Amino acid sequence: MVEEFGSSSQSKQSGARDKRPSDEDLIERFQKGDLYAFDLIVKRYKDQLLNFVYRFVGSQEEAEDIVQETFLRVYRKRKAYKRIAKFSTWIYTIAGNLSRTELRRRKRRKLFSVTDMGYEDRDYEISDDEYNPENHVEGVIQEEIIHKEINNLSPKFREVIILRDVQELSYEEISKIIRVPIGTVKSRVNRGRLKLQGRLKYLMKKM
Amino acid sequence: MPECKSFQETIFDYIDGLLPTGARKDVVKHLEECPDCSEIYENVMQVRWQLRNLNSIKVSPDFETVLRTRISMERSLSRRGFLNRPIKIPVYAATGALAFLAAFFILNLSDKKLSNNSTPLNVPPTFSSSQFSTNQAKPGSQNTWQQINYPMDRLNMSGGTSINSSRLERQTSALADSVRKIVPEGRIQPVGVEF
Ligand SMILES: [Zn+2]
Repeated sequence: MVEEFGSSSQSKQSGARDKRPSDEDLIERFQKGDLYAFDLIVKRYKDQLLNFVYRFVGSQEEAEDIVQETFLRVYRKRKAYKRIAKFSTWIYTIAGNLSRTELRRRKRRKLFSVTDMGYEDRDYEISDDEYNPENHVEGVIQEEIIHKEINNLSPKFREVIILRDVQELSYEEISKIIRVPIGTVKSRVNRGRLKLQGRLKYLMKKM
Repeated sequence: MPECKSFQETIFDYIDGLLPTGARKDVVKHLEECPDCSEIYENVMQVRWQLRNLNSIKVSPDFETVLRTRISMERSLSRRGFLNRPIKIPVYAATGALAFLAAFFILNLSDKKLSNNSTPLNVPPTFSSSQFSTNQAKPGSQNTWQQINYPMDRLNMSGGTSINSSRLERQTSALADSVRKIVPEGRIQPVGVEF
């Protein structure tokens, strides 16, 4: 089964020599033991996934842990990936699942409220910026308000809003990542957008 | 306007560029006539623009190093068969082995990382055999011995005594979690998800 893939992917690679390898080529190379291909996958996805998870769970530190765990799972479960799916869909599914687990665990333990905790952190960051030009401070504060309002959405709206409006994935891919029908994704995105515009319109009027 | 409620969905399709030309014209016409829908439309467009242009963050500089360390820890565990025999290992043995490995990696890495830090480090850079054999009664080296023996205690101390590389500590205890996960008989709750 490995050999079968080997010949086809090699001919593909020689056909497109100067193009960068696709994600799917990389994971296939990694499945055959090429650790360098795994490194390339990490480089390609680390920041993109971090931004998705960060907006989803709200804390940068936890987001980084989750992205670490995501890559560890890609490493461990590399054989589970089949080329019929896009690699990006697979890795986003893993990261999304881990994020949701983290949110559930947090809720169960009720150690702290997500938004309160995030808020304190951010107040700190904002005060660090006091010496910068005023418009920058305003931009930072505005960004923090938006981040907070994303966090105030319930997870099922938050996740699709991030995937669609922050990361700009297609409805089709989002539907595959979170495994719900496209129609449901759309209606969640739309309801999320409605909520967000309602909560942020005071901010928009200032602009 | 009465038709506005049902119109909202169309507005979102319009925003997403999913409408055919005819329907697009209807939306434009409605937006021109209806201040309510037009306000929602403007707001949603602005919010969407804001979301697209949120500042991106980047992983910390040691992200890949930490990942590689965790992977090589796993590989050395699995080479010893730890990861392939889920039922037979008692949880304390697995975490104990892990704790030792964790201590080893943390001590090595954070020593490198903190070498230009002004905080004095009580930690030996590597484990030499003399540290294991000569520490018995010496008060000075007792501290070192404890650190080697109970690395997990140290991991759980907030504001730890000699190491302040908290991120790597967290990462390592996350690895401890994943080892607990593969030892189902332990009473610790399983972590992680299926996919
Ligand atoms: Zn209307």
